[in-house]
Amino acid sequence: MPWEHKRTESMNHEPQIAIEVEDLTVAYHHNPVLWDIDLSIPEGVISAIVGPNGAGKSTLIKAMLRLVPISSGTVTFFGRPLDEMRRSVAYVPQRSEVDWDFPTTVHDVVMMGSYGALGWIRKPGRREREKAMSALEKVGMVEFANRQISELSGGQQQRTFIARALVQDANILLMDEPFAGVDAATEQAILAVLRDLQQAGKTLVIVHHDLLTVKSYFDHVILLNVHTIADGPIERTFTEENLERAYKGKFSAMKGRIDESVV
Amino acid sequence: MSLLYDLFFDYTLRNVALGTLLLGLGSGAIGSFMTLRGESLIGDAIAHATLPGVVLAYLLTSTKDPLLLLSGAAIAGILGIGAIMGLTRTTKIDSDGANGIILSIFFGFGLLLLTYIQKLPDASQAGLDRFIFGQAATIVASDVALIAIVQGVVLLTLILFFKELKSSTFDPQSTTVMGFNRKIIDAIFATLLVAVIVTGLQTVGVILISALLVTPAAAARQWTHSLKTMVILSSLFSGISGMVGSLISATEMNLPTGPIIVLVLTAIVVISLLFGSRRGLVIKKVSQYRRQGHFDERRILLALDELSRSHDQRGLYHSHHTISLLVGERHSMRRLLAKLVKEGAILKEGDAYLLSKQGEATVASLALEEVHHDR
Repeated sequence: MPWEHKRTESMNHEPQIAIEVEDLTVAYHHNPVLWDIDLSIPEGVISAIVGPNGAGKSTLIKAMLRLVPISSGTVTFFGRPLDEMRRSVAYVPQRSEVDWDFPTTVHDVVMMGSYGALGWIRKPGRREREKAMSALEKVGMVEFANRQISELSGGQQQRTFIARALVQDANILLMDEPFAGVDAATEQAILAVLRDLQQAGKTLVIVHHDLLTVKSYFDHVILLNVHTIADGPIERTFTEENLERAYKGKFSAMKGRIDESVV
Repeated sequence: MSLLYDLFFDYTLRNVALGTLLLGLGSGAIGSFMTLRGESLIGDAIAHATLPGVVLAYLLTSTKDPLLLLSGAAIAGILGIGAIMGLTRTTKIDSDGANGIILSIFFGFGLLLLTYIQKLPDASQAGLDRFIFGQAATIVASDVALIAIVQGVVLLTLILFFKELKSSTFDPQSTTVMGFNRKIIDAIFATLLVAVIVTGLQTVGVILISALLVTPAAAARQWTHSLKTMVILSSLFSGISGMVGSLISATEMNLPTGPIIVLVLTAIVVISLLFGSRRGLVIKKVSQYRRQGHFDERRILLALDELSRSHDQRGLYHSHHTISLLVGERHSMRRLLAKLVKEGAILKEGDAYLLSKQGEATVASLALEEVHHDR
């Protein structure tokens, strides 16, 4: 098969694999959205999932988290199935996936990050409230704590979501397009938070659409187009040849701009 | 006054008032979640789906014991909601379509059965058609006790699982990732919904019970931005309209209860839509008017600033007319100018104006604000 991808060797030297995906296939109404995905994401990286529209980037994250039914394959987090590792995994969905008209405040949404640790029925208390405030502080949203979520800008919504994930204290964060539709200043603010998380030893996997910033923001990349085109450290994997394969020739048109940005 | 007296001492009236009040408390609360989940129609579909259950229960047992009939209704309701959820999950039919399909199939079947039993000898007194429009006056103390128990359990369950229902309503996917099984939360929600609907069948009826779910929630949303307050308000709105509506229906010419309750609810929702403190039309218009005024004030100050810059000589007063040319004609112009003079931001001489020191400072801070605008 032309799509048979080569596993990058460097992976074997990593101390631990945070996420391992094997033979993952997802199909909607007979059409494969993801086909026989194999990849492994080492602990402590900021990894970008990159690929053209319809490549299955969001679906890959959702399949890892069992939010969409998978036809076959396994996904493990630090060698264990998701159900044993829920405390360690946090998900930041695309902003558009929730109704921002929901009657609640920023602080309340962030506090929802503590619900998993609380488990069924137990109510959040002072500890959870404080945790939410300190998460808001980290993303620079303290002054918006009591703001109605319907009054937030796109960037503020995104930071609220990230704060909620911070409250979960997870080791692995899976984020769907956190940089989509935010202004340049917010993008940098979010990036700074992500860098802090990486410093703290977390593993971040981020669906990303902007090829121009992949090299400067990430140190690991997964090139996806229904199949895994390549995955591994950025220098070795984010190559012209691999991008050409992922974007099936449409890449040439974009190439000039990317070369400029990389210099 | 006699109504108040009857409320406490008239057996029927007391049952009716208490029954519909309790029914409203539960239905308003669960109704809030239903509308926020974007499933406003599902209550209507389930309510209609209960009819064949009622009739079949009567056909199979030949009794009119409300507990039996309502158990039949509950089973049919659960089948209905299961079918709706199954349809939306496994086919490409969306929830509106699924609601419509299940509603018409179940209700149609229910009407068919109803027509059939009305042709049976001695069945004419079965009075099952009261389940369609509801007849509050027919409920007795044991019915009220049943309503009280069911609504009590519903409210208690809502309080217990408030956190889970809230999180899964806002962001079902993240809630699932956190380890809360979606199916369990959906099942809790569906059970509460069916329970509320079934206990409302006798008093309000199949056709209009969904009004007690959707309408109070829509009204409550106009007054608050907090889910907890919304649920409580919706519960109260529903309870009060249930009680008031059923009292009117019981006292005046024996009117059908459901429609009267809906009329009371309509009044509440109209008032809320107009005057709601958070999203009511009036408050929106007022704040829009204020914003416009605020914006125009700024433009006047900026216009005066621009005028003073464009003239070599400082301290010139500019006429109302000149300012209008820059800002645009506004009938609020005189009022805004007068307000700015009063606040000390501009100085007035005849019909001409000049930025004061204070006004200049305001303009400078506006410019700063502009820079930070997008942060």
